[in-house]
Amino acid sequence: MIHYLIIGNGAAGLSAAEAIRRRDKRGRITIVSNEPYPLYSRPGIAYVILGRLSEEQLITRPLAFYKEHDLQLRFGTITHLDVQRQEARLDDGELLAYDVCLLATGSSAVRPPLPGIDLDGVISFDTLDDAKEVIAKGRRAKAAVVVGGGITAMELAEGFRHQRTTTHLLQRRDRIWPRLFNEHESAIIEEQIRHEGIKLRYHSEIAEILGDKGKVKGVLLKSGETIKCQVVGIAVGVRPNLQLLKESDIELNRGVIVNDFMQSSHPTLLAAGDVAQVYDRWTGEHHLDVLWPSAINEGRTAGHNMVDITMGREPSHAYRKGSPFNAAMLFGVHLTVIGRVGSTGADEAEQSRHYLSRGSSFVWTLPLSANQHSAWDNHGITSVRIVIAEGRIIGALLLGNQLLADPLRQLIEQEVPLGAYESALLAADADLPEIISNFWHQWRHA
Amino acid sequence: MFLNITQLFKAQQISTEIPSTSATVLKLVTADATRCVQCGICSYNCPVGIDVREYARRGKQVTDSRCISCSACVNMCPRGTLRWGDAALIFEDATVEVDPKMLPDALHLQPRFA
Repeated sequence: MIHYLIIGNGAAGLSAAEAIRRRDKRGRITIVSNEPYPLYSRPGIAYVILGRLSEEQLITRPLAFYKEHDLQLRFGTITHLDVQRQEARLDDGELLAYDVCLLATGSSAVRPPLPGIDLDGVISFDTLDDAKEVIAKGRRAKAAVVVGGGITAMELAEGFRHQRTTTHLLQRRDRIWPRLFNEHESAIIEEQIRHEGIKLRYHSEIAEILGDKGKVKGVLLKSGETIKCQVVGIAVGVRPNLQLLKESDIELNRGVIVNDFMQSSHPTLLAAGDVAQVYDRWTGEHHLDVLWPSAINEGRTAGHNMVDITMGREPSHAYRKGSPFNAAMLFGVHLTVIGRVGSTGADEAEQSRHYLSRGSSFVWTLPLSANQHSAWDNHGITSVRIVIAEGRIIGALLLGNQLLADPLRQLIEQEVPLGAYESALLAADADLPEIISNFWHQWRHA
Repeated sequence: MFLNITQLFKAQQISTEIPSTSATVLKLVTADATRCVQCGICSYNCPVGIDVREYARRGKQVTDSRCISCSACVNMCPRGTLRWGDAALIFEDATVEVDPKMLPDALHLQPRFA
């Protein structure tokens, strides 16, 4: 019997399994999960720690779903993957021989090698179990320190604050999310952070996490100052889980380099989701995303092609990567990022070192070239920034009112030429929302 | 009715007034599947127990007749996935016609879920 092996039970893994089942009703599909849950919404863990959602409700595909579609869910860890022999070994010793395998192992939080990083009370925010720990420890903690500059750091800070814990949010530089936000956007979010009563510090880095009897009791900053706390949230970025391929000769960069069919350099090993480094047609390079819809779309493509491969055919479904996009909410303010918005002030060396935040894309913050121009406008907490190149909008970042988010997404995805509107948009003091909405209406009703 | 998009954009908050149902145009909860992360907050808050998440996952409009247009799901969604959209025409003989031009544009951009 044909055996499809999917390593990873997240958005990419399930999407692939569903795509396989749609075409192959009889092949055996094994999904290996190293978390003791059926598929749950990983982005939703932010809402669990805010008390907006129960843990049960977070489950997106209950166990009954796996049974109904004959998906064999195994709880355990794959310890060894032999790509040439097409075999994987589970931690209980069982050997799983496969016809085709999908690596969908996702990514994990980076833990910097700080003294005290292994103390009880140091939390990263990847999983539902992490969410449970945030709630349990947050309840008992008098104070929490969170370090990091992306969405996860902000969700953690908001989560601890929800428990009425005194919360310190440390930023290494002089802005919130300096890689993505300009100074004005950072100021809008900063206002919201302070409004929530979270203590925000810039130019702040942890030198050491201090402990007592194995538990966190505070942090020592590089400035020499100490902050007393019982819990430390580390959210400085994630990296793809590639441990299984360390000893293989699969082509790796920051992730698994895949072709248009989600195949790695070995035809029976595919990759999708956070681990897959996918071709981006706008930059002509392979890049990583840590985005939920990307994982779903890549998984679906991989699943479809896995069936072709087991039938001895060439893969037929080429993946067409869209412009990377995410919508989130930071301290009550809606945020949408689309395409390329450029990196504000990070130099080349920093770029190569940086780890992606969950819910972001490498493409967003690739530095802009000389012929790519940015324009920005705001009304209170609502702001819009667009990047223009080659006579069209290639990226946008919106805070607050999101009415222009979908129009901009269409204009970017469909590469609509701006014509005369380009100079209007780039003019000093341009009323961007007015011009963008006029342009969009004109395009829609042309 | 032309929506003054500029005025609305400059407003700090979009009005969350419950739309009235007229005899000729029905408003349905409309989902952009690419924004949906399937957290389930929508279904969790639905007072009549509709699995809104499932509609959102597929980018479909909520056509469950139990919907009372309370706006709880639209308001609570943290990703801006849900909104009120024009969808169907209800005729005097109570038949319903869905106008494909009224479906969310996002459906044309992304492949559909099964």
